[in-house]
Amino acid sequence: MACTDRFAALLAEMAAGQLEAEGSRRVLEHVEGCAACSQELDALAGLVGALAERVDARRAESARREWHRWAGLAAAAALLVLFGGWLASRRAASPGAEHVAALVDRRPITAPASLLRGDGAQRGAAFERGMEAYRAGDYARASRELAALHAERAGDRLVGLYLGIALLQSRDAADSERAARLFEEIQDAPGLLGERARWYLANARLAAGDVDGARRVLEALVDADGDYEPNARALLEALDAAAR
Amino acid sequence: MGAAWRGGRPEWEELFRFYGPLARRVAQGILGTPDGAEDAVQEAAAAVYARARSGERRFETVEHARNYFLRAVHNSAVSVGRRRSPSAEPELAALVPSDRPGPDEAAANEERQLDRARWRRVVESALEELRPAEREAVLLRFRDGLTFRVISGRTGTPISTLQARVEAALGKLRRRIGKPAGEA
Repeated sequence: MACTDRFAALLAEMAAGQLEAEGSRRVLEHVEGCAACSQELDALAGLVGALAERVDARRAESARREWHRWAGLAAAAALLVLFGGWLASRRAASPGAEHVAALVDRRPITAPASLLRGDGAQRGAAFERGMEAYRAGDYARASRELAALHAERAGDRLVGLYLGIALLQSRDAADSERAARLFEEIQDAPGLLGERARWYLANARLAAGDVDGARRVLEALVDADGDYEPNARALLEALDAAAR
Repeated sequence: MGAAWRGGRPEWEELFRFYGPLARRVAQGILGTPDGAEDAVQEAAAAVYARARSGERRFETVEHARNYFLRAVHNSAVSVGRRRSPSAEPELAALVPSDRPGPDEAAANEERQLDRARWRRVVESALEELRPAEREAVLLRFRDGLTFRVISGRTGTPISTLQARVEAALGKLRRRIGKPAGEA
């Protein structure tokens, strides 16, 4: 609850895009020292963000994603039963599988609207559909659209990156291995694209149970000292802690 | 005790995604129009991230980073607004806020989640509880960013009634936020 009615009203004005410069300056200054208004700000940020994503449309999509999520979990459970012996042998030499699974970072990167302009426009309607699904959080549909496109455009690293990230969201072991292969193809790309691919490769390998393979990639990320260095370092430390 | 904020690229992207829509509203309020708000937010995000990445600024909690980002958006929107004036020159230095005291300890110790999926569930659940008139007022106000005067003109509802509906709706949202995510 906001600390005073005045600041509650100003926060709501700001969230509605109606607060002028001096008013928002006072509000932002106040929030830095008030836990209650800080929480209120977060609530309004969550509200504005959720509404911006067209809540009504997402209700229908979330029911479909929930079905896909349970289907993916059922498939993963079946794979675990089949590979139970293999997991047991790996546990002897590496962190527990359940600990490793909890460390996997699947958070998808933002797909900005500008992707569909310029070079993106040349990738056609399938790319547009796939990225629309990606941005809506429907990663199963994004995977289907982008996989079909990737088959036609072998070597398209951007499509490969987003396809790999979408596959990683399913939590299915087979999808994680497919994602890892996609990221391997991209990891030597220059700049941020290659670095991102290496970060997701590390996590895809972890998701597939290849801890040693993940470590090698993470150590290379730390040595490169790029944007993902702090994340790679933290994940290596977490793997070390899990192995003790 | 909440975990310290790692501040790597994924964390920053998550922060910009979560607070991006609100940040655009902050800029919109300053500029008086949605035009230019996205530019202001992008400029601020780039400047803040560059400063964080270079090590020039460090943030121990996500609240600290959030506050810094929103102040940068504020300054960026003011700068964008000035650039629209024919005689104005860009004030790049104004994009980055000066140092401020950190957040209070209670906020720093609270575990934070910028889980947009969780927030969508919370908001959807809260919207379900609203009366149709309340829901319409919230959507027009916070989704479309309309003034109470414009909403009143469209719906024929007095401004005071609209304000009361929005306040009632926000009260229900606050009560929803207080419940565990599993109950959303």
